[in-house]
Amino acid sequence: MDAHEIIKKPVVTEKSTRLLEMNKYCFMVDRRASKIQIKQAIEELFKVKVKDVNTMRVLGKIKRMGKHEGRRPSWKKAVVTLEPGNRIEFFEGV
Amino acid sequence: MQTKLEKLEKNRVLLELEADPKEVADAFHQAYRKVVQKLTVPGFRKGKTPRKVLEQHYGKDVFLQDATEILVTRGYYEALIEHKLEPVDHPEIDFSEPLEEGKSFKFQAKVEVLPEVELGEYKGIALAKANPVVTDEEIEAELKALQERHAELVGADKTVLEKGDFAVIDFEGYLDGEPFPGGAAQGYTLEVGSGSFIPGFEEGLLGMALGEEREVKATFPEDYPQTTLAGKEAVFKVKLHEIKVKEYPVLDDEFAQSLGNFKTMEELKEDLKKRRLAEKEYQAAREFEDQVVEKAVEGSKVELTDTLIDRELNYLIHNMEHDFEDRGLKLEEYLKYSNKTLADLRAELRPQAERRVKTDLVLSAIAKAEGITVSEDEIKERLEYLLQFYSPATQEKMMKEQKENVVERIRTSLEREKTVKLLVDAVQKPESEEKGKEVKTE
Repeated sequence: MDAHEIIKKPVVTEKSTRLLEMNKYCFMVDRRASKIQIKQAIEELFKVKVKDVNTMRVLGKIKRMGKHEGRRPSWKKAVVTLEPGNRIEFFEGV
Repeated sequence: MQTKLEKLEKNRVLLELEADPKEVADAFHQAYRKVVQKLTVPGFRKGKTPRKVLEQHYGKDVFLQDATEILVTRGYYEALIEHKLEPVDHPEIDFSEPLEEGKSFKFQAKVEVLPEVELGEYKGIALAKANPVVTDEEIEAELKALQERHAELVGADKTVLEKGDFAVIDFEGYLDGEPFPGGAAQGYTLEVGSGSFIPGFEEGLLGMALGEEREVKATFPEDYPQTTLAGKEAVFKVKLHEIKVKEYPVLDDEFAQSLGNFKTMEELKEDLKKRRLAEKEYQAAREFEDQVVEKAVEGSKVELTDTLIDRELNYLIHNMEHDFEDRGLKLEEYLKYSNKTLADLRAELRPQAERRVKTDLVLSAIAKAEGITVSEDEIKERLEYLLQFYSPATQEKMMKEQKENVVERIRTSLEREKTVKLLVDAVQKPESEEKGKEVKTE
């Protein structure tokens, strides 16, 4: 898989903003991607050294429209910890 | 903040202001604090969004307007205090370059301020105070009025009605042989010769004997309010029941006693005189005050502008409107009735407005020059005094909603009173007035 296919978009929330202080960056990633793939993709895209990757599956919320029940897509979140001294500029602007 | 003051014509001033980069940054920070409470970004609770995220989401300029406003307002008011300016209008704000973080910000404000008053000689104005005297004639007139008020109608032993008598009559009016509404009454007391009835009627009664019935012809005047009757000739059947005359009380001690705490006629006269004098003196003191103030104002120079005068005009017209409303009239109706436009009215009131504005300015300038101040205690005292005239509910409302206003008004009026007193005290009395010295000048 291509790096761009793995890393879909950054997660910008209050929680993820707080994690930035610990040099951790959150991304929405492809559900099929492994931690190794994610590490490689981040290193390739942002030219940084990754120390650790933690992933989690986020279940889509159940939403209903009247009596029809539906589900928002589930996705995978990756919290990427960088080696000290590395930064992702892209987030800086955020 | 750096400020530069420049005077323009017509009481206007130009303020050149410059905020340094640090102040600009502060303003931006404040603007962010304000804006962040209003805008939401997905993923963040209201008020929790970091500044960068906000800027990215809503664009770089989200804070620009608020920051500019904050800076301008702060700078403007600081400048007002620094240069001790008293604006009478909203300022015109101008800036050539938009606000930018990290740079200093220059802007200018143009505003009209209270004009400077060139005080003339206001101390030692030479002016004689009128010395009120009560003449015997005035007392006589007062007594006459009293007599009139206490006069009684008594039956007269007369058989023929004469002018000046009071006739008790029944009457019924006919128009072309038909009775008309409002044309009849029984036991009506009419002063013959008073002209309260239509012309011809009272004259027709003269010479009537007691118990006599008579037909009187009288013509309604052309401008009679009831149009169905105007200009018509009517026949009245009249019966005379009684003749009464007005009996005036004799002006003696007894009469004096009946009026209250007087033993003799002399005492009553004395009292009347005293009261009349007090009244006149009060009036004279007021008039004197007005004259003194007028003189002081005349001697001073102020450059008035339309802004001030227009404001006063609005105030005057607003007051007029209220007056009319109290009488159940609308200002528009009044204008229509007297065939004037609002512009006419304004033009008419303009001299008055000018005078009032000038008087205000001069008096407050004098107060400033003389260091007249009003203490909190004085205000409190006056406030309590004034409050007692209102119902408890109104009192509470006033204290709650407009305390600031009320206190400010009291302060102004107390200051004015003091100033006027100072002016009056400082008046130079002409030599001939020495004798009248013991007369207290309020």
